[in-house]
Amino acid sequence: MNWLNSRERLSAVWAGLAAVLLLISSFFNTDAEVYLFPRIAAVCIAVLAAVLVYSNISLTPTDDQRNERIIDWSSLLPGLIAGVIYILCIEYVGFYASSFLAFCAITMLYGKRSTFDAKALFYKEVSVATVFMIVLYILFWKLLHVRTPTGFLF
Amino acid sequence: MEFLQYFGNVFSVYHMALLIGGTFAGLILGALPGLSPTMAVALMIPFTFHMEPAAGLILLGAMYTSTVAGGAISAILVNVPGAPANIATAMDGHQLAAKGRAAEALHYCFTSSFVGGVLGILVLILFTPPLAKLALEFGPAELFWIAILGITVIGTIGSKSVVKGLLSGLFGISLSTIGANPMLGEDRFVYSDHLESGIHVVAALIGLFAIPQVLSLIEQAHKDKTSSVYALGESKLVKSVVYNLGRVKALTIGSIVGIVVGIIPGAGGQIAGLVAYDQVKKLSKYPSKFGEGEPDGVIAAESANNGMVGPSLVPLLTLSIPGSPTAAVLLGGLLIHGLFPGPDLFTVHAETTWTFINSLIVAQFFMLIIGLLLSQHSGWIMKVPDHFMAAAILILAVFGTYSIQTSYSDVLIMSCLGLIMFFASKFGFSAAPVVLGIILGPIAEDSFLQGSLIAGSRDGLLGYFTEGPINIVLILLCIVSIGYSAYSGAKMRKQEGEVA
Repeated sequence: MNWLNSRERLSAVWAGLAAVLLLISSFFNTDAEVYLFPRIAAVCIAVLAAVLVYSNISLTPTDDQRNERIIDWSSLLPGLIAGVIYILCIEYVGFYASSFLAFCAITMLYGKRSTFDAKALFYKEVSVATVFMIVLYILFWKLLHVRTPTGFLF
Repeated sequence: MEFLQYFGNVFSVYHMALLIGGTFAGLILGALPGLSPTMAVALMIPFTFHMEPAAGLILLGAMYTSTVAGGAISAILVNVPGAPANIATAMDGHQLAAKGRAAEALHYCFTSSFVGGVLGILVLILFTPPLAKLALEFGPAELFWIAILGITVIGTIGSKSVVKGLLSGLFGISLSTIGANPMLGEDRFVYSDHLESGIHVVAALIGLFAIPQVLSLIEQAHKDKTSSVYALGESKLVKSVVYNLGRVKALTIGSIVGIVVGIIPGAGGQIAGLVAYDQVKKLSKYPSKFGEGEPDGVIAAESANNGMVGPSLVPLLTLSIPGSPTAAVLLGGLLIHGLFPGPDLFTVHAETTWTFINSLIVAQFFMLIIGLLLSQHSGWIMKVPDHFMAAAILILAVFGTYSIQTSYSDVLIMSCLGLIMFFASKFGFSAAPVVLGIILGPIAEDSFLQGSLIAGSRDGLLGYFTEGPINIVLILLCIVSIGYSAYSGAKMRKQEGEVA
């Protein structure tokens, strides 16, 4: 596992895995004529991924590279989960309702608040979300005539 | 002088409204540090889907021009470039702001952008028709190599790592093969009903540019931002503009660099601004003043990064090779309106094409006027919190993607691609080559398959794809771009190793 302790080595590993996946999906149980071009692309990707892996084997990462934090999960995770739930629920809840809730959720999760002004910030976030959704409704529903799924709300 | 024939089309009420609206929106979006010009133009494409081609392109062109110029606002006031193209602007622009001359710096920005932009568009008008005629000589083999060259160039010159840039481009090509085989009609990689229609280029554009930006904004939302926004200060507009126009050396160097870099496929505004800054510093009598608030630094950088805009469309409109990542997105905008780069743009679609090009000249005037007015009131733009921007971009991305084909599948594909791209970008892979792979992949495949059929009755595959001077030149250009980037990368790594 020590070998995977730098960004460059991890990138080589991920590139290698993606290349293997593409090779399998292009060659395994597929028609040669239909998959001709994807197979050529997959082989080229495999060659380049091998070059990347080889070039990273010999590199010794510095202490800074070993210790660097690639992704700040503590900051990212709440918003990421909110975004995933939003995308998955959008068809069932309704585009506008779920978008409003997602906007409020993201701004509340990441808004800096103290006990003193928490209520004021809450009203600010809900107000901005409301205005934003009204503008989107006018733009998409009324002007562009894009009918979005309404789900069980709107 | 065919462009004069269609100049009047720009001045219809509808087109002027789009020009003004697009310029204003582009300046604001460009000024917001969380939004890149590429992402802003990508988000705007679904809105143009429902417009006439000329109107849609006018809006996109106005946004392309003004987002690049608008990025100077945050570069100067907060030392955070609104776009990669404004990195050089921040070097002296922010120092001017620190001395209470922010308004003056902004005046220099917009005036220089105007001069560089107009000269760039004139180059576009002069060079595209003859180059489009050259494209008539292209058969399947030439088109194949053009597609490969486009992906190679933006994957190597536009990326920090040659291998990763090429991998990104090839990954984009692989994504473009999802769906039905173009000749035989059989499905490929359709593991879910959502993938039956393949990946729509606009869904991919939005997913690859907007979603990683949303996640980046969320990731950094908790960080304390200690930089404050400098006050604009007082500045006499006419005096600043006259002074700016008198700096002929800086304007000339910046504009020429912008034009040359713009025509080189894949290079982009970031390089134009930095090269122009470097050159004007070297040729200045007072190089030590650069980095401490020297106006020439701002003037050269901004005239270069806007001078790049027009020429970046030369290889795009004629050969489908974008001159910058934002031009790559614009290529998607052209394709959804049924406009394919090449000679047809200047024959069958001459009215639309020339109206679009002419609108870019008019857009420069609006960018100057609105930019100078906005520069007096731009402090508030910097105060929009990151998490509000992230939420707004996410929802706009979802609505915009859904509106293309009213398909939830597009939204899912957009989200998945965006998530993959966010994590890939953490490991040094960039979105522009992937987008170009998705756009040019079908062209490469169609040309390859047609060429294979022709080659079967002639000299064989290798012979057909390597015969003729145009093919040889294109192959050599692919090799040179890979070789040059590999050499530059190795040299840089060696220098970093020596410094360490």
